[in-house]
Amino acid sequence: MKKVLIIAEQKKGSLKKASLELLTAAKNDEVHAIIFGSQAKAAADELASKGVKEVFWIKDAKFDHYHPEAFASACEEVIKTLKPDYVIGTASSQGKDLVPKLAARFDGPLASDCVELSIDHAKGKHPFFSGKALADVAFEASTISFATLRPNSLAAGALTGAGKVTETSSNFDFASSPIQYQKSTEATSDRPDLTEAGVIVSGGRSLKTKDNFKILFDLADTLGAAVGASRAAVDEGLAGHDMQVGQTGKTVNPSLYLAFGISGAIQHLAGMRTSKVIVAVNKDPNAPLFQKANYGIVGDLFVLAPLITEECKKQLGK
Amino acid sequence: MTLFQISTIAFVFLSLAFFSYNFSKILKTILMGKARNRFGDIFKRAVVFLEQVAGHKKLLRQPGAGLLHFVIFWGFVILTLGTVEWMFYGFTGGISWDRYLPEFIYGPYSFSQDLFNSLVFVAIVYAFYRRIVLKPKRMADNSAKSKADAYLILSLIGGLVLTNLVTHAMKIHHSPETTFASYQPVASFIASFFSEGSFSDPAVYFFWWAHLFIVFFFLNFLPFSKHLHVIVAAPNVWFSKTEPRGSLTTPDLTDEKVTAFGATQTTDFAWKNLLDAYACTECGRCNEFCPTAATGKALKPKTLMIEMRAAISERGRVLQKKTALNEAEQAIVAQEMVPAVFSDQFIWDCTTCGACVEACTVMIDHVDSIVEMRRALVLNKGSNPEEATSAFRNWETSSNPWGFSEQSRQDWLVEKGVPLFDASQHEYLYYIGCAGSFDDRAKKVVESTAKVLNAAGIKFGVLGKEEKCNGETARRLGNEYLAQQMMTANKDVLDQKGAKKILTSCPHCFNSLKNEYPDIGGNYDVKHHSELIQDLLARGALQPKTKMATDVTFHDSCYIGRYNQIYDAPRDILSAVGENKPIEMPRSKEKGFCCGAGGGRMWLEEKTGSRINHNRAEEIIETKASTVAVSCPFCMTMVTDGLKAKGREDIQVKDLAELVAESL
Repeated sequence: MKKVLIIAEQKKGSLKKASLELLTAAKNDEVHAIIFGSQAKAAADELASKGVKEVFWIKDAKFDHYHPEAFASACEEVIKTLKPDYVIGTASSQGKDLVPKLAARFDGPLASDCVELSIDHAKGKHPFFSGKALADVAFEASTISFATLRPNSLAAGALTGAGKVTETSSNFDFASSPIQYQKSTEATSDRPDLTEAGVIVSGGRSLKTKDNFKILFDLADTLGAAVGASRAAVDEGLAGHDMQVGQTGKTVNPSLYLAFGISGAIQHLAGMRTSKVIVAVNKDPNAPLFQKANYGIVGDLFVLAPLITEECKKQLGK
Repeated sequence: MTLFQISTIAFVFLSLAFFSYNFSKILKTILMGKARNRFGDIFKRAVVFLEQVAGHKKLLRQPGAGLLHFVIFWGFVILTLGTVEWMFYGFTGGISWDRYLPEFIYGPYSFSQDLFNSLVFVAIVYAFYRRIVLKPKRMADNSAKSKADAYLILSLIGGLVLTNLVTHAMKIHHSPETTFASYQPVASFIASFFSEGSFSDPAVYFFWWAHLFIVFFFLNFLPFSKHLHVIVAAPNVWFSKTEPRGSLTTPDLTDEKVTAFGATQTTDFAWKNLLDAYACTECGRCNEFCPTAATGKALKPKTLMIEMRAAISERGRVLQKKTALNEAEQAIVAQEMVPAVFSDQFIWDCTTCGACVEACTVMIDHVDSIVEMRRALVLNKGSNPEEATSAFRNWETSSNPWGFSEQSRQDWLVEKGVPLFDASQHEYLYYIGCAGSFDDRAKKVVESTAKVLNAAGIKFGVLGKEEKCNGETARRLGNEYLAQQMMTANKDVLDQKGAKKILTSCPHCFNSLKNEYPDIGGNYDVKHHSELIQDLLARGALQPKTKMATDVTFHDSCYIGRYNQIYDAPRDILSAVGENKPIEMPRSKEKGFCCGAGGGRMWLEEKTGSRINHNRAEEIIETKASTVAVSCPFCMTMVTDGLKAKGREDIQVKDLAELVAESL
């Protein structure tokens, strides 16, 4: 049994699911956690109730927003007293910045952006060349090791037993830091970002009008998915350029990619071919995307999309 | 020495001195440009010079304007002899050349002066008529200053020939018995209107001086006018590119002392790029077939030259100042071409289709200047359109623009049994290119080409996984590091395999391997499939069994057409496999209209103006052809998408090789 410190993250007071995935990575270990922000009480309690032995809650409101030096300094203080064998965090934009900094400070090995991670077995998997290849990584014996786990890689976990929440503070001197927090602005859409989404519903020129995209939005909202579009659809003004998936748009990597009326020209494939499961819906049985898709339906998207939405609602109990 | 002689000598001397002073400043500015060797190939230069300067080959493509210019140009050359005599007359205090020359020389000479004075006068009247009444579209967007400049120049030329004619007419009037009156029918005709009696000396001298004054006013106005082209256009043609049209320069990236590349500032261009800008007279032929000018985008090649000249002159003037510079002048010294002179959009709009270069009658190389500026942006600043970054990354990691695994390159082809190239067994190395390796549509073209080659008994092999992108597009996107890296890697593989004859299906691979690889030491006999198939059909090695009954039109690829002057091969092929000859679009061959994908634009979004491929699709639709033949995988994509967008998916887009394969 190893002593593990997880760097938990919360958003508006609720614990991020990705932080619970870290519990799965360390399911047979003695897990401690650190969490930041004046709003983090519920999140800290949740961690404690899910078997985290001790949750260090940095309650100071100055920690409500990410500050690279302050967060690293607070973690450093906790690590120095706790002396964990492993420190693991999420490969979020915060984790990608914070964990390598800590690894450097403690001169420990770092396995970054893992898609599989098991502290028990001291190993993980790490994709490279944009997911074209996976590397098996193993931790060598070290005083302290570090890892980050890509969100949506493992199931959310819970440990047995219950722990406690300890409010702590940090003596980081914000005033003399060269980095000063200015402001944060939030994206307005509540749909997930295309590049981070686990599920994407995407439409092509065959949707014909901008309004018709509504049937895809309905499906996306049912699945909690993001909505994408082909270049042809964007060119025709059916969708905004920020929705474009492909060579000159966004490169996406979801678990599930549902393509409606997209023929699958090479420019489009270049942006979505690493999707884990591709479902193609097209009237034209010769559409090239059927060659790349795991599942295909030859048929009218205007009939099929609402049917799929309805069935998903039923299955998901919505 | 008479007062007349002294005043003529003083006037001519002062005029020439003033001109030399101003012109030398321009020359100095031009010579601030970087070195470029344009001094060899004397014979080739002479041919181009004779064709374009003496023969007006490109100008005469537009017969009206061409003939007009031809008359004025040759008028200038011939009447300059007369101007020399005019000055001689003043220097000597009244001696004409008839004193030294026999009649059989001086007579025809007098006639030439009389004839060209008159012809030029007619041409000038026509020029005014064109500008005021016909209003050519290509000059409509010229600035008021530019238009005023043109009218002034036309008026001066008109004044020149009129004062010349009137002076000669006065002489004939004074001594009608002179032998040479008969050689000057027009001057004699004007003289016939003069009433009895002789003109006073001041009247004669007035016209004599007026002529000389106009000559030197004209000369001294040139350095301040777009009409400097009168002086620099001919040298610009002489120093134009003699290397293959499709080859860009290959900068030495190994010299570690060089830390900046391309053209960041005016003085970073080669001197020839600077001369180009001064040679431009804003005729606007370059804009006529330019895909970006035609679709309302920022880039217009004429604007490129006008703005370059303005920036070059201004910065050149400041750099030549010997006194301390004020703040505004220091800003000019620090000025960078992008964004101070041109916007990013302007520079990245270009498809490098070469329509402007082809159209330019004074052989300006616009594309060269654009690429130099792109190189500066990418290599020195890492500044390029966002979408280009992902293409660059894909080339770096996977040697293809889409980022497909390098390990799967041409798997599909090898699985179909196409052998890997072996120099001892294969005549041709079929260089597939990225599109043929990965794009499902282009794969079909490769299959058809292979079928045609097999039918003709041509032995060929491919490189498979060892093939790399040839570097063409990265190069035209300004990423010379990446381009040279891929070019060198490719060349090494080709040399190691012992490739001598290379066949390509992609015009971009073709142009690069044929015209740019020699610069890095790769010398191969490169053919595009259209050339080889034309040859096989002509030799009877291919026998079409069926003929296409449908009407077909042909969309010229810029890199097969304009850059390599292959216009007949595709048309011969289509005539051989079709019942009818292909229908020509209005914009074809030299005037072919780009599909919009060249110059790396295939990998960038087209966010401004209307779409280039839609514009072309409309022209294709107007031919009423049911099939459009192409010879390039990128044209294939752009034309297909354009037709789809216009709701004309019924028009088939086929590569030449596919049409031939179908006929076998």
